[in-house]
Amino acid sequence: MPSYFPLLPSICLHSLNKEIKSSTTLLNNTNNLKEFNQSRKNLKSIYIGTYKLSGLIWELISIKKCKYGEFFDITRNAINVKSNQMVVSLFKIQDEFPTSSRILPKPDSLRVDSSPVAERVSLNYHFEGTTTSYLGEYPYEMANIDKGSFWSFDALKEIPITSKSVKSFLILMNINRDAEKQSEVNLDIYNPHQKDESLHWKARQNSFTVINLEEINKALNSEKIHKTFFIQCKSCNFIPMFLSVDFNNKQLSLEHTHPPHSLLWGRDRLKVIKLLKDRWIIK
Amino acid sequence: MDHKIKSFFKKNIPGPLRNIFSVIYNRGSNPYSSKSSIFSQVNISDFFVWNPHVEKIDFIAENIRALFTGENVEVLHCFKFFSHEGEFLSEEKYKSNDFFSRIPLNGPPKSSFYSSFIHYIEAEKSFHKLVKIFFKNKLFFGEQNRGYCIYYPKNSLVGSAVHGNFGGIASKGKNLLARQRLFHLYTPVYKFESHNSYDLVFNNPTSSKINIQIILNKNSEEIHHLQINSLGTKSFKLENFAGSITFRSKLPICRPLLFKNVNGLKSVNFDVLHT
Repeated sequence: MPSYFPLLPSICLHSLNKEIKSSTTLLNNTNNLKEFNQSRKNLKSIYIGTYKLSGLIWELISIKKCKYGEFFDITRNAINVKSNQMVVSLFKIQDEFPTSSRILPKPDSLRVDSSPVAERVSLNYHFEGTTTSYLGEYPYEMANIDKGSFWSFDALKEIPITSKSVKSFLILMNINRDAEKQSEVNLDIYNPHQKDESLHWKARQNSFTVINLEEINKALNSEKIHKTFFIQCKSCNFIPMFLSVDFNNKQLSLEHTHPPHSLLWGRDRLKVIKLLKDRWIIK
Repeated sequence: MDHKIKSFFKKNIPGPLRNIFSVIYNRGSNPYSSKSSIFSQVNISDFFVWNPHVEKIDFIAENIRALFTGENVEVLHCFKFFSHEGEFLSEEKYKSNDFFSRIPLNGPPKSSFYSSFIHYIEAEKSFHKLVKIFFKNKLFFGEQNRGYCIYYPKNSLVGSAVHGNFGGIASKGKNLLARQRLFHLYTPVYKFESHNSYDLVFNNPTSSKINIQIILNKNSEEIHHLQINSLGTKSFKLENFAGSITFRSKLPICRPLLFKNVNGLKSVNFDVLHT
């Protein structure tokens, strides 16, 4: 199935007067295929349409014709959007993009066979000459889901007590093709040993929710700096990403956490995973 | 799977049979052995990269037993290290009852090459025993020990986090479920830049030697070759190159770990990612 390619939010730290800028790098190439299917590859130019969520409409920002094998970079600061406004790019074989639409157009796919791995892009963060990248996407099928649930954890955070120069952020991403789907949803963040004392946080469909994990540590009175907290939502799904930054050494790190179903494997794994969801999300 | 065939399977074939058909139809790209995909109950590990050039490596380990029972089930997180040639080197074990543990790894002694390791669990009760009370029928599933490595460059309080490489390694490294299939061409969407240096680190989770071609996509293709033993690891240093790279191998997905500016003068702008 095809994919949408988001432009991550820029992260502004007003207290330090610093900004971590985001960009997305796309490539006109089939990312994985069986060698004998090479003749099925699209070697022609494609079109990359980029939309921003404006009010209750997806509004076309730009169309870029991209030759086979050519990269295309989108930098948030170079386009007229807010730091956390939802921006999504998609591939089309033909130059057929509505200038505005309530429903985000279905992307075309460059895939030619059932080889593993979805179509992806480089999602990048930049800070004073350093860059961190993560290869990711937002699956088309997931963008058609109005309801869902979410469970994850913040074990990748970096919060050393001795340094004020280090920050970690959880970035929750939800994209829905329908621009009108922008409901507020509730997140519960909690110490798994004290689930009754959860912290309530607001997120929104079709948006990026950025959470400073230092604030979570303080709010949940964690004595252990690396105590792992769980994050859940009963009504919406998200892709979680963790950005850590050491402002002194200009070191960045961006990575996602696996969804719960990847803790197991085998044909019946989803039946067993339901136990995990029942334990942490439903109760 | 082609969309039309997928729709046909969905409409005409019931769930469990559909999985079996899907495994058979996609055999040419199935990273696991077909039999294990359908019938296996073993626990498997991803294949993680040990980098001897960074300051330290922390491992984020999940305790699946604790997560599923909601209780502090005590387990031993075990790490088994293999040399770059694929031979067993050393083992580390850490006791924990927490849901997630951050474990500073010692790694193999006197290592100067990139190498690889697996993560598995030793516990009083198997995961199957813990969850079987909830099910009437025999189920086919196993633990998948994922976990994350955090690689710290010198003088930084922030490391670069990345999950493990595809593994399918069971029975403490004695049962390898990953398979070599048809030749695949994988081109990660990553723009290499000439002012950065990169170490591309490949490991081989299959039971036989693997050949990998690294194709630098320039005006004229430049091709480099690697051969890696079973459970072995090899790296390829890339400098003064800008553009994209394609990997040709019999792995259905050949995704090396990429270390950017891992040492030397350019110790800034360090990054690690799973391509």
